[in-house]
Amino acid sequence: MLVNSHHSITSLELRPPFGRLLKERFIRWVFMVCAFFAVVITFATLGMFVAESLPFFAQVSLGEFLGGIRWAPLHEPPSYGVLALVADTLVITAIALGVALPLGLLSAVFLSEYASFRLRQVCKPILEVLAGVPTVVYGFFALRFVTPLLQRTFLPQLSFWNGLSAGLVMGIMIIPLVASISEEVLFAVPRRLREAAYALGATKFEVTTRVVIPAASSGIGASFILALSRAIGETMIVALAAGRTPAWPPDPTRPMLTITTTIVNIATGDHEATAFIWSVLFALGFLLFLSTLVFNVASHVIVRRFRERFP
Amino acid sequence: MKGKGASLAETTQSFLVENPIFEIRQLSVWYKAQQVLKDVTMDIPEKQVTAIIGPSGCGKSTFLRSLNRMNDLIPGMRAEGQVFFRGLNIYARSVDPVEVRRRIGMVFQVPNPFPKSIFENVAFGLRINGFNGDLKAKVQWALERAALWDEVKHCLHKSAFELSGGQQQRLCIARALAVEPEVLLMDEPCSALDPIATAKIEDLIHELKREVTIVIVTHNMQQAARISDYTAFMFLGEVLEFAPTGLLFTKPKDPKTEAYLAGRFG
Amino acid sequence: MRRSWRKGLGNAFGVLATSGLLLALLALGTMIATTALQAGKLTAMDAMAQAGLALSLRSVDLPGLGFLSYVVAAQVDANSAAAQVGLSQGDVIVAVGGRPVGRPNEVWGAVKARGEGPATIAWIPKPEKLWGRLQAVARPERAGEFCVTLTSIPAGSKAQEAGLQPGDVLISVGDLPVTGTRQAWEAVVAAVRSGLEEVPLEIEREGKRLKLSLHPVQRTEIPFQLDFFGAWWRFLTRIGDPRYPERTGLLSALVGSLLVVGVMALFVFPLGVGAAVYLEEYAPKNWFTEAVQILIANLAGMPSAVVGIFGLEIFARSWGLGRSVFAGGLTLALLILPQTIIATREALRAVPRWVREAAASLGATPWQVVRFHVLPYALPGIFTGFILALARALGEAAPLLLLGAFLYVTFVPKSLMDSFTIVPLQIFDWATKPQDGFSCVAAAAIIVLIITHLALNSLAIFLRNRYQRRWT
Ligand SMILES: Nc1ncnc2c1ncn2[C@@H]1O[C@H](COP(=O)(O)OP(=O)(O)OP(=O)(O)O)[C@@H](O)[C@H]1O
Ligand SMILES: [Mg+2]
Repeated sequence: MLVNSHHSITSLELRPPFGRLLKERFIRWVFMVCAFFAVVITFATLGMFVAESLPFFAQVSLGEFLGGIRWAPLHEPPSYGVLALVADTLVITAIALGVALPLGLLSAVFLSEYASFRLRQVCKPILEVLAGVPTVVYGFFALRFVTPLLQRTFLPQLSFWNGLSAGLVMGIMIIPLVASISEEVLFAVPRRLREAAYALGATKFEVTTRVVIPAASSGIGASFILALSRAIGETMIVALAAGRTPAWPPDPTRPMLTITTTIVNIATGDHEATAFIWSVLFALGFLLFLSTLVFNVASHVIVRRFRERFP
Repeated sequence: MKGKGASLAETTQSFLVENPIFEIRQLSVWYKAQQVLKDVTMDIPEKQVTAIIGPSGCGKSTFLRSLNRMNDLIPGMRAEGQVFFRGLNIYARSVDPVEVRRRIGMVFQVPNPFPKSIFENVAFGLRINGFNGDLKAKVQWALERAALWDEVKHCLHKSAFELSGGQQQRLCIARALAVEPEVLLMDEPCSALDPIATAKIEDLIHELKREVTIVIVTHNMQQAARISDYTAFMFLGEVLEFAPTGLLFTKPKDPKTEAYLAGRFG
Repeated sequence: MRRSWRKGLGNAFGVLATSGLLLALLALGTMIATTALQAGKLTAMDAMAQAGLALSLRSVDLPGLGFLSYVVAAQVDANSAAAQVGLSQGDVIVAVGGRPVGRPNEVWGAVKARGEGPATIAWIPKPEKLWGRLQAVARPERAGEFCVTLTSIPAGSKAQEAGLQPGDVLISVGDLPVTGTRQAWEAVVAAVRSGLEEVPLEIEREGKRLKLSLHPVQRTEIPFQLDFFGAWWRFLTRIGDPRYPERTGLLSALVGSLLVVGVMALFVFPLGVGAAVYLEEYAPKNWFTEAVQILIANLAGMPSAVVGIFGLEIFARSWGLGRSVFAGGLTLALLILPQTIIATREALRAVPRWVREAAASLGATPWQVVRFHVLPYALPGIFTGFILALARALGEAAPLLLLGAFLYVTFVPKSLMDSFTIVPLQIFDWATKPQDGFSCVAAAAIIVLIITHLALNSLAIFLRNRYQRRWT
């Protein structure tokens, strides 16, 4: 395929050597298989939940499941009102967020707006380390310190297992999560926005509350959503400190039963492991999976949007 | 011969290149939906220095990078048309971009040595190309051709980041030269350098053109005039004019070229 | 005027923000401090165990006296210091170093307060040693009623000292009417626990009522060694007896944790790095890649309970791996994999584009670019992420709790198909046990967990600061 006679290069020579081509293809393929693992796992999880919770939904109507307020799968007749569990879960989550959101956000504002560069350098890794402290440690703290403390001080009628201390400690656990994500988005707000406001004579407080926080609001919102999903899915703290009896109406000073604790109860064989109770496990898992899926995807999308706006 | 669609007569090229190393035919490049190169058709002569000038954002870098298929690395890039390298369309299906890049080297705007020793920087291209001669001698040869040997021969194992900007850029040239490319593409190689370092590189280009073809993008029109044999003026993704350097600078045909050379925009 | 008001508000806000961080740190500090405090009893517990004693809590509920708890020697090792002074299983310890004790916690507290060296232990011998075997016999004169009689008095016993004889009928002990053989002895314990040294007895001997007084308490000295390091060493290196907190150990949980995390690492490291390299270096930037990315982010945020259900159903049941180390490792891998992918991608992304371009311009194939440039430069970052992933895996309890890792494991797992327990689950188990002492060993295990966590995190931070490349 010569074009000009003085050219001596043929097309063959710009072809990759066969062996190299094969090797490159193979390596690429291996990496691809690794990546598809994640996809496979997600769909396997989804498929498993759908397939395994079918027997449950064949017997219990969705309305009864989602609308009922009595969770008593072992009574005769059994009752599968998940609302009782959802309500307990949400009350504990609300307590946790009530602690974590203000404290986390304030910490973030402090680190990004007030702290010196050095302090920020020191505090950020500390937050990261704290965010990773095993949750069983928090559970122990709730059970063996916070509950006795509350019983001795404000709430003598508090029961040994209760939703309140589980929620409070869960809040403490989530603070670093909220703080580090919010701090990052606050810090990413461009200087020029701040400087523009300062140039108009705004004080630091005004710049922070009227310019920086609004500009970062979507990212902060994402961190809140992530905190929410984290609180709903938290297992060890509630399994240790919140007890194993559903409360209706929800009362955080009494034992509470969350969705995750119920899952633990069923899986660890507190109940007779009949085939049907097993499908209850999957129905609950499905519920948990779907709700956290929604929150996680939402926060992911929001953070992406934010990054695109302030790269 | 199929493929070579447009004939040169229809293009902005005012002269016939006898010995073209690149024959570019109706090359168009898109980044996502944005068309950056529009039907570029030109011949690039072998063992000469060809300069590409034009206002910022007109597609010079894109053009240069499409000559060794570096653009393939940019997600969302799409190319149409042909680039014949020694008569062979490098955008043909059977052609491997890696092979193309082995023959057509590149020097970037900002000096970008690897975070390794000076020696390893130069040796890398040799190693991956399966070079099995005397590695040290070859590295020395490349450094000598890049006029850097005398300055670094005692500290070959120092990190390349410890060199000055100009030295780093010459190291990058040595790195590219080590694999003996037939063409060297240079994208504003001097824009990050001071005048003395720039002069050194310009001298080097003069030396090198005896053995390799050089295509250089530059913002600096004096530089283009000083070092190049041919100059192409690009504007909004098109090559408006391509002529021997002397001719283009003295008698530009296109009014836009004239305006640009007079410093009225860009 | 207005200016200063605005300034004041701003300052108040600054203070508020600062206190937010301080409060957060304070809460976490309290947590660690109280845990350390709880674990402080470990040495005293160990001293007791080294003396040969395992304690447990009993209680009596006697009419007229109410609810009283006491401490019995649940186990006494042969040839131990405690056995040598005559203590045996079933004896009741009522005071240590002069302090009355009613539950194991008080015993350990007293030992701790007493410090190193010999301490006097006051104890009531078990019934057989105190007054031999009692017998309930029908009263011939009143049909349907029983009375409690002594059958044989051991030589040198407290009963002998008090002048009791075989055949005596116990009418009352410490003013409580005797209603049963066990109750008679419990009445002695109750009397001593309520402060009496001398327990008045009323007996019937040959038809006559007599009043005697019993001194049931013996006092002996036992040397206690408060050995901080020894106590921790023993705690960490024995499997122990899971029934007694002072004798239990963390060894099988430690080995279980290491094995499970090892299996996890074996899967996660290659898979995670491979997936990250594909997504960052190879994958076309299209909607599909984007979707995979969202999936992975979502997997990373999946509650560990959900992952646990998956492990339980797929690995343990479908694949038949059961509650083995292998199944545990796989389940953990599922949890840690997404996080590793994300961390590795970040490390890869930190390698600037121009490195890839420079290498590619020299004719490096994609694999050569990755192999010789991107991966080596990203390695410190990848390692940092991986160490953090290990730290997280070591602390993760929920998925393995669901998988049904055993809570009592009295052996060290030897193969991948053995059942196992892990440190966080051991903590969970101990923390929920009501008996005295278990919250102390739970706290001690927490200290171990937190120290490991801090060590791994410090290592990661060190690596990041030390080897982080500055791209200039
Ligand atoms: N990676 C990319 N992705 C998307 N668009 C790009 C990319 N690189 C360049 N472009 C766009 O293509 C156009 C041409 O860019 P190019 O870098 O080729 O210009 P240039 O002539 O080299 O400019 P300069 O003189 O400033 O270097 C510009 O409008 C630019 O925005
Ligand atoms: Mg450019």
